[in-house]
Amino acid sequence: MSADTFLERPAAVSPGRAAPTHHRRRDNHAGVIGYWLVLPAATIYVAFTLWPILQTVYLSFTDWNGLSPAKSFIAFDNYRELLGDERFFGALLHNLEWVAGSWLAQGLGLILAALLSASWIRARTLFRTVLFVPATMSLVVVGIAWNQIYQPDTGILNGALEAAGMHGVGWLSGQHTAMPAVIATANWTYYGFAMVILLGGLQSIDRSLYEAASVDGAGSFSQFVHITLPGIRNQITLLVVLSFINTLKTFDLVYIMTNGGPGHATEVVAYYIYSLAFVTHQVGYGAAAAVVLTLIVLVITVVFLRLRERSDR
Amino acid sequence: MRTSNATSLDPFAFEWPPVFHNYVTAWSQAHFSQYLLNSTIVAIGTVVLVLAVAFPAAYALSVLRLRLSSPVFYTFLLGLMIPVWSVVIPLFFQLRNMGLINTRLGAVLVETAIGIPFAIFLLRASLRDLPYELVEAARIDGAGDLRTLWSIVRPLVSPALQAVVILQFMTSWNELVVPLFFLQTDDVRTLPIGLTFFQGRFTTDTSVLAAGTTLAALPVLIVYVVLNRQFIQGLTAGATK
Amino acid sequence: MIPRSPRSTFWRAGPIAVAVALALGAAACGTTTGGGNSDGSSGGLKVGDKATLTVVSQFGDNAALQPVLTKLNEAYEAAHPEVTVTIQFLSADDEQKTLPTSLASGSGPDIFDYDAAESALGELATNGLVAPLDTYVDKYGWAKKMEPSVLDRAKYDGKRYGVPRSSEAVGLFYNAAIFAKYGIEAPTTYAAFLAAADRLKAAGVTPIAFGNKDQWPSSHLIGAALHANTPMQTIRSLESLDGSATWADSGVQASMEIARTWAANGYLTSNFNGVAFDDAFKAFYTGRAGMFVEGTGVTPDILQNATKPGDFRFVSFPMIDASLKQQAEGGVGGAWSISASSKAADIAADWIDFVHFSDTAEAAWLKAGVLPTSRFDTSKVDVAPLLQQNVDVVRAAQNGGGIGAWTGYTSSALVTEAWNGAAQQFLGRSQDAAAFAATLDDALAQARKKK
Repeated sequence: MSADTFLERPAAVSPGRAAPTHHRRRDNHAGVIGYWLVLPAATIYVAFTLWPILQTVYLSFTDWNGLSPAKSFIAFDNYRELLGDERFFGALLHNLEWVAGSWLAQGLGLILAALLSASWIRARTLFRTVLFVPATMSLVVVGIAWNQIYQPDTGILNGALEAAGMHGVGWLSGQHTAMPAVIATANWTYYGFAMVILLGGLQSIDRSLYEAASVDGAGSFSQFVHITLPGIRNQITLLVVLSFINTLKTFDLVYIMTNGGPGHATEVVAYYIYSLAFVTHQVGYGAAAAVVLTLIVLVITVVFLRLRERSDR
Repeated sequence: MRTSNATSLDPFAFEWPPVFHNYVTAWSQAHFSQYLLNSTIVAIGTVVLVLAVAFPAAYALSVLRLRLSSPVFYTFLLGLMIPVWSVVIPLFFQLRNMGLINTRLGAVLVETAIGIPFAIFLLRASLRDLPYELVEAARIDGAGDLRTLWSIVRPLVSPALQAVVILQFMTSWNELVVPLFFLQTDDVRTLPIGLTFFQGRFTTDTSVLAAGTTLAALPVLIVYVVLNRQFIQGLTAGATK
Repeated sequence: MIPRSPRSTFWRAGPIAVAVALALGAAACGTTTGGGNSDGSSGGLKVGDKATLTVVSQFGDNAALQPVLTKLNEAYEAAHPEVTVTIQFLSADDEQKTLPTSLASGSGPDIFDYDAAESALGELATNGLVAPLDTYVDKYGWAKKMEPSVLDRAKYDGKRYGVPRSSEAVGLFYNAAIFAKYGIEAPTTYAAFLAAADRLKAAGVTPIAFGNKDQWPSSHLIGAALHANTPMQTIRSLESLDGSATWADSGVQASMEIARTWAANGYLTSNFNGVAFDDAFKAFYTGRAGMFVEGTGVTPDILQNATKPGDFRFVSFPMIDASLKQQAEGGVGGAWSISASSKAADIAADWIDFVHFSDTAEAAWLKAGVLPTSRFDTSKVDVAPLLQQNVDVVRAAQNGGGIGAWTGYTSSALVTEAWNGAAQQFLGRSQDAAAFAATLDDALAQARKKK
């Protein structure tokens, strides 16, 4: 019996002992074809993703450098080293900053969705289409374009600031400005997706609920908290889960924009893993870092979904 | 000495849109048409394969009440969580053992495997709404599961399917890591890698790069604009529960 | 409890078993070991046999050099019709990422052009992925055609593994037109260099173009100071995993400090840690900076992209410690190597000999801006003045104190990694020389221990 209603369909039959025979017969029959329908996807997935993942787990217990055939089994040494690795925890912290930043993008998406769902908006489709474009762009192009925007001397950001009488900064070179700058770029690609998802949710809320609330004298803030937010609960959950998974894996923008610099100020875990495997040729150690990262994502995702489901009850 | 990840692309310093002959240069100079063809083959191949395998799988996992659907689903979800750089090396060895290095088929299979988890995730959300009674009714009428899938279920979740098509197309088209390792020769190389060749190690031919980037981004943009409505519908329908 | 019939159990378990079996079967040979024979024997095809070879070149992002290699290859194929050679062009970055894995899996190319540093080619060699070339060195007389010291740059553990492809040296570029405009003396001595920097700064022109966002340019800048102020012996020891010198040595630290004073005095592009190399370089060759501390490798781009290439000059970076003979940072730009699992090593060596040492080849490479590693007489070829100055600088160092190494980029990938971030902080003045040296030494110690 699974634990999260978000991802599982709601039980059509009440939980418990109702009509067990009926239940089992349905299950038996469905199982006949059911598993065969999953087979093709499972085969490809197991062959090209799951098996390599298992190999990576195996590699995390070795000291392989990716070059020579020799590899020795060193049990948990990599993990022990990881525990004391400041750079790893620094990278993890940057990922967490990234996650927090992505919530801003979702907030922006919510605001835009709310604006677009207002009945007096014309050309809603046009706005929606245009606002979504950043989310379709290749991250390489996004990184290159924003590199230029952040340029200290010729970039338009500093240009605009100077024109407004303020002093421009080296955005990507400053220890304390680099990470926020990269996260801001990432958010530019995130908000569109959030906006679209939330827009769908907002539009499916029953209008009459609002009318009834107005009649009862509830102000707009109260309406927002008690009608809107619960109405888009599922969308919010979807966004939180997806954004969490994606931001913990993020790599491309750091690679294109800063290479983890200045110093390691913008290094994220996926970049550290990449550099371990492909630059310093420490594949075993990199594998251990990857396993730890995946476990963190897995645990937090599952915990979040279970909490969510418990609050649903 | 190595490098150059960034370029001196300065969007406001040259004529925009780039002059026509830059497009011609971009097109002819770096085997652009070949890269375009390869990107198309790989992207379309991946989309078709993902749909073909993920749709039945999502259906089985969300509509048919299988006992193992939850663990199987989570196993698929695991694929979403692992960063690709961690599995590339074992994957490379594996493809090499299967003789699939430097083949478009190999790239398609790998990208499909990467795309299946998200496709199942998205389709499942839509499919969960389907009343089981519908399936039962079809079964009573004598339709096999595949037939049910095609004629009854498919039209009902069409928006979500289209969302998968577009998202997977976009992902495959912009994919960097897989082609880097598995499509190294000119005859199979895809656009994103081809673009990096315009970035000289020390300098860039800016206008040609701009033209090349525009050409490369165009197909995705076109697909997005044309299928925009269904796409949005698919995403939102997928998320309503 | 209704027992499940055996048939339905099969139907249920069947697909799972099939899926797993199929997938594992397909991946069954997916072990992570290499497949080639790396016993170093050159058993295989001989010159004259029919063969197909693959070459990986790092000219992917160097549009000027691709046609040179392609033409030379065509010439070789014409002279040897039984051989087909396909060239794959990758950018240096992409090659660095993918080649080790390709080679390790046994599906790599026969011939490849890779960075000859200990941290790069050396590491591949110590892991058995590269074929030793000593038999070919003797057979083709490469040791006579080339300075032994140059050939030895690709010598690891006593064997030679590559044919260095191009000489590169870091020197000082300056814009003669700007210098003339402000009446500045040519920077042929260190004092003149400092004076020029001050004059340019006062005139509002960026004295030294420098963009360190990509992290590696700091190796050339700091390296220039190092090679101008520290004895070559120390430098070579420092950059070798077998050496004993460390970054904390007082002479080394003093040199690094000198580079830092340039930053402190405002001689470098402002906010350089956020400026990409490409942009700094562009600023220089479009006349917005007076000097550029870089290697001979950028010359072809100046010749091609500057509006007035005739304005630029290249001189040896002036020695700071006058008691030392002229030294220069640099090395060899790349080296031709043969994969240990190649089945056509003899033919590969023959190809390399043609593509690198034949007179046609030497002239072609020189014209394209690649400085020779051999004793080729460059006066036979007519080249642009700037290119000739490149050759002069390289020869001056070779005849003087020698060409050293790529600072921070030679001994080990661990050191390079440590260098990249720390140099940004050091030059940006958020870290002092002692801390910088400590970071580097940690990595160096680790690398030396692993060896």
